[in-house]
Amino acid sequence: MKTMISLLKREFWEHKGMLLWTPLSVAAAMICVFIVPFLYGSKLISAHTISRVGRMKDHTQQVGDALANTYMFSSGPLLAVMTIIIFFYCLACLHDDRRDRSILFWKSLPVSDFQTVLSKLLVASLLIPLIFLTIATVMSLCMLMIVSIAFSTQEVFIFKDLLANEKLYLSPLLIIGILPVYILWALPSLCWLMLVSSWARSKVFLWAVGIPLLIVLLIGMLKQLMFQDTEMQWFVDLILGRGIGGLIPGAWLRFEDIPLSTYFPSSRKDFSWGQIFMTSWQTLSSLQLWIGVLVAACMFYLTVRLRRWREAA
Amino acid sequence: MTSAENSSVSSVISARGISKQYGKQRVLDDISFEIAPGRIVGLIGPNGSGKTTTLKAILGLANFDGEMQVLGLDPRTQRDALMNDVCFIADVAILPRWIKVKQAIDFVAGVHPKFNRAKAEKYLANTKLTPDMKVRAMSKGMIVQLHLALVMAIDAKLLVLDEPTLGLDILYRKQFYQNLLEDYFDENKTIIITTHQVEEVEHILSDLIFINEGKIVLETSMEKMAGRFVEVMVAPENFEKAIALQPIDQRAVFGKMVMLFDGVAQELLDSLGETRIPGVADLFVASMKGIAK
Repeated sequence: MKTMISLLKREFWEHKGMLLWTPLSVAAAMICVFIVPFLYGSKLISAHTISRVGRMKDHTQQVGDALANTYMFSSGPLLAVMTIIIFFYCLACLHDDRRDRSILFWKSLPVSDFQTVLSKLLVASLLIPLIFLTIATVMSLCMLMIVSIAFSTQEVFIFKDLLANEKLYLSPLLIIGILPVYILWALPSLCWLMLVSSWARSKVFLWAVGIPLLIVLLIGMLKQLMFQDTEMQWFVDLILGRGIGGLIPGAWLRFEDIPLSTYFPSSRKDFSWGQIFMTSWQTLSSLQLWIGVLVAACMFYLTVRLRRWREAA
Repeated sequence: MTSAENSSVSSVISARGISKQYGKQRVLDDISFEIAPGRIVGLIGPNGSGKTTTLKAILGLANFDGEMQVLGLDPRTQRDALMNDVCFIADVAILPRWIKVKQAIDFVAGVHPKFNRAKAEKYLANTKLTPDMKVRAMSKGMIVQLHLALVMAIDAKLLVLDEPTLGLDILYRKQFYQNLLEDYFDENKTIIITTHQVEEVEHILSDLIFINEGKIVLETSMEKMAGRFVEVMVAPENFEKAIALQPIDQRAVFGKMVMLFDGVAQELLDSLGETRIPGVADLFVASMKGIAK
């Protein structure tokens, strides 16, 4: 346990820029951009919008409810950044120390290769999402505050209704509650990238993306030559989607053919994080999810074996 | 049977019939050796002789054929347990460039049960290193100081040093071995050193293993070496007589012949000229030309 904590700390020290400063800067930049129109007030915001806000005066409860329900949408860009960060973290985590030969230092200490690889998987699957979701929540709350303050300048006071609305508190909790589902669906992609990271002597990115692309290309050729009528899209989804795309939050919608409208109903009022939470957890009954987890476990085992014998590049 | 078992228990390292091939090239060819506790062993050989491969085998970093016990464990299958009692500096400047002095200490303290933080900090206090300094910003000599501080604070039974002073300037090199001898080494520890700079380590070694082309050319303790090998400054009139005794090596120094003899009686050699114990470097050069094991 003590060893694992040290290993996790080690990852955090090494990748502080990726793990902390990147999400903080993105969040800060988003708040800065978001605040601009409000600072300049009527010069940038049309009179039409202002009058619309003014008309909300008598419906503060509905306005508060809509905002409490949807304010977490602003974390979308941060989650996109998170996907990219996880991708590159996984690719680098077992390769960089082989490249600069510092693996020989790490290997001079009584830490098993299983512990090392596990610590890196924990960072990619748990630590990075938790950091990003925390920062995303704080950022979304800040933006909500900005909107509320702007409303109050038009004498629309929604603070009381907002604070009394349980959705304000539930939204981030429900999103974090989906994290286990995300991890399970992302495991094949995480383990594939880490496998390449511990296997490739150089050009990890090319190998990680190139191999799935090549397979898809070859299958595409085969289809053209032989089975023109066969539907091959599922195979492309399997290789590219599950192999790499699993890192994208919500990718299980596509894997499980869940229509997007169950998540985002046409009427915004019907949107509910609880619904997303429920449908996400329901995908746990999917067989392909657990086959993916099994494949991931095999790749994890291979990664540990490679880490054991791979010498410095 | 019993003697073999006893030797494997008392030895720190016991290697039997170790071979290793990279592709078609045979890097280690059926080598066997024993290393007893409390020794400082110099593993000496030219580039590509198999030194580093031997160390990698001992440290469980590379696979091999044959049988090896390090502290009673097989480095291939019991490496995780082995690393509690084995330390190594594989090369200079391999500490991760992003790490800070204090992070390195925290990490080793967190994962190594035999790490003494106070000892490491005491050692670092005598250097110019500060807790917030990153390896990136250090000179080669400073990196070695940090690495040495970490390693010396670990109470390991076996320390392996692979070219530990390569690329260091002379001040750091002297200091390195001095610290190692004064603050680290004791009769319960064993140190294995590979190096090109034989002169530098010769006075601290207790045993020698010469290796060439994947084979052990000479394995001896320094005491035995002094008894077996003698260098004679042969007077010109004794030249014929000396040649008859079959020197294993000869070279001219200031017009006189210096000859190296293996296992020739001391009295006999005294009559030829001035005698002395050969330097390890001279012995090494001679042994590379081939001597009886």
